[in-house]
Amino acid sequence: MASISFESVGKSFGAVEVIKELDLEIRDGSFTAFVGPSGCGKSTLLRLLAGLENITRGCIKFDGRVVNEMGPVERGIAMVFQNYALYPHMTVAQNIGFGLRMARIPSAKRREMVRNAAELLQLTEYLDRRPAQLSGGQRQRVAIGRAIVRSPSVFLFDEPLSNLDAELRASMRIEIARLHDSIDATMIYVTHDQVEAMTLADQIIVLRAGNVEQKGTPGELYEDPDNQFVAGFIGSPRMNFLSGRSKRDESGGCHVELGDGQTLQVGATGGPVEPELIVGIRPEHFLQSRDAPNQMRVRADFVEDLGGVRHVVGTLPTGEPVTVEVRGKRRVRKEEMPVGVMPEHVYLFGKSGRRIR
Amino acid sequence: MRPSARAPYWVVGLVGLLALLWTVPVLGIFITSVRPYSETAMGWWRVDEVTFTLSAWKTVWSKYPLAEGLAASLKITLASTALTVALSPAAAYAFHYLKFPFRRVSLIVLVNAFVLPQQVIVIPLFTLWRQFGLIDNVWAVILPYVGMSFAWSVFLAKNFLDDFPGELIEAAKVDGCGPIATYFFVVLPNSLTSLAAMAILQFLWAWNSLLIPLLFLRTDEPMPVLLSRIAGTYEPNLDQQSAVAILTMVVPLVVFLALQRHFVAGGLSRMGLKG
Repeated sequence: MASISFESVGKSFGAVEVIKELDLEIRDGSFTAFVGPSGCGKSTLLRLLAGLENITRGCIKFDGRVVNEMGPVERGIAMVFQNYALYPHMTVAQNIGFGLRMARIPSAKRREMVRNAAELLQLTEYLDRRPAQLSGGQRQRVAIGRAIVRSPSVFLFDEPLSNLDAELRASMRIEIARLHDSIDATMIYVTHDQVEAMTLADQIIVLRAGNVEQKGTPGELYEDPDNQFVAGFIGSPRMNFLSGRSKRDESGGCHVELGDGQTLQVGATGGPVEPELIVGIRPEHFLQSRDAPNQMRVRADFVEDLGGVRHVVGTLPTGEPVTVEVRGKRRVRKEEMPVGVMPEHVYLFGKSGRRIR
Repeated sequence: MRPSARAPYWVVGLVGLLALLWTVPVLGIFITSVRPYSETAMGWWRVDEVTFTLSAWKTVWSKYPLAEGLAASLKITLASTALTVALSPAAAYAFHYLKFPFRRVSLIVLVNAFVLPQQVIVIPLFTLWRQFGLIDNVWAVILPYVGMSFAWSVFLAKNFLDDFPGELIEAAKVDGCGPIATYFFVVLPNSLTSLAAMAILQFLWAWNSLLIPLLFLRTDEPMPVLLSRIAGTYEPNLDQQSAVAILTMVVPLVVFLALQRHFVAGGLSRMGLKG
């Protein structure tokens, strides 16, 4: 277990600045996910933490101790790689026990530790096999076994589930969550899949181009995004963005006029409002009711039926594309359908993408 | 075309014809060695008169120190192959993964030794060995064999390491390996294909080399030197030369056949990574 802090950390590869200036605290025993599109610097950040890459500026501390010059073992980290990185010439038992062997742990003790890790991950019957004889999910478990056997204080996961099929990914996700419950080490998880981040982490850090866009609990990021990027990145299907203009009425209340002249009531906005706005509405916040406020007419172009939920991909009268989530048995025809949205579910962003609250 | 489909017959025919062309000289040498010289003087394919005899084989075996020659060849070849295979991958690994001053320059110098022909180095080498008293010592041959092989063998190993999965090396680092432990526990066991290729090339080159042992050795003469001694006399003895040529050729042929699976395999059931 360890708490981690980044103090003005920067990383450049030659002239390319990958991490600009990062200040971050990661609580002891927490599960933190770094998310962001590819190239945002999240994997680099993990490698800086692991000691596989040297930082260019600033310092990284584990429990208040500067670890800039330390190797992975001294830092007490273990890492699960995206491609598992199992040693192909070793059996599962040798793979799991390799770190212990390098730490010169006596072989009897080593065997016991490997067996315990294998039992935890249900790998006991595969201990004598080579990685090539295992399925993707089993390999992933071996990679996790190799990490847990050394009881590290920090676990690093680099997109560990991205090579697995959807079903296996869901079950491994649960196994990782269970692992975090049973061994309360600090876990740091890099992914571009916001579903993994939302379900596993208790703190999510959204990165873009080497900057932290927002950090917070999954709920905070979903309910209260700081900017248009985070609003669009968190949540599936993606938030709808429409362009609009702000209008104040006599009583000081704020309205937004969409491109076709329709006015939307929005929640209270205390601060100053720019004239040009971007309106964000999540697909699941649309209400299929003629009585709901902020009525809009959506022409349904295409329906994705997921069984319990349907995603209607349609167009507003302004010509802007919009996705509406429909629950229940309600029939959706390829025609205009009336939808509404509660004022508190209308998010406003400035032209720069900053949230207007 | 499906991968499982057979090659068209004309391809098989053409390849077969080319293979036959390559084997004809070998066949010629063999026939020359088992017929009296008088019959084959006008060409080994002449069939005016055909008798088979092993007299050339018996003569060379009793007249020349062939057993010693084979032993000397084996000793020199095995030592220089073992040294190249032991040292080149380590050098390539250092050039590829470690950071040290003048890394790039020294790699360029090493690989460019390629352009130096043997003939250029034999005279300075001869004076050097005379100084050290190494003339007529097998090390006078083994050391240049190994040294000259670095030009291509380090290059070959480095090319292989270019494709070596970096994640395995990083995993080893996370598991607590230093550079040397990473090399011995992770890189080397997964480089067997390139080691086999390197061993075959170095074995063939060292076995067939003539100039250096001819100049530096007097007692432990390897097979190619013996072959040149037999050819050096005035008597018409093509049959004897053929017999020794076959003896010289057999060992590398066996080595190649034994290791060619690794040579063409292109990668052991590669890397427990994806797939």
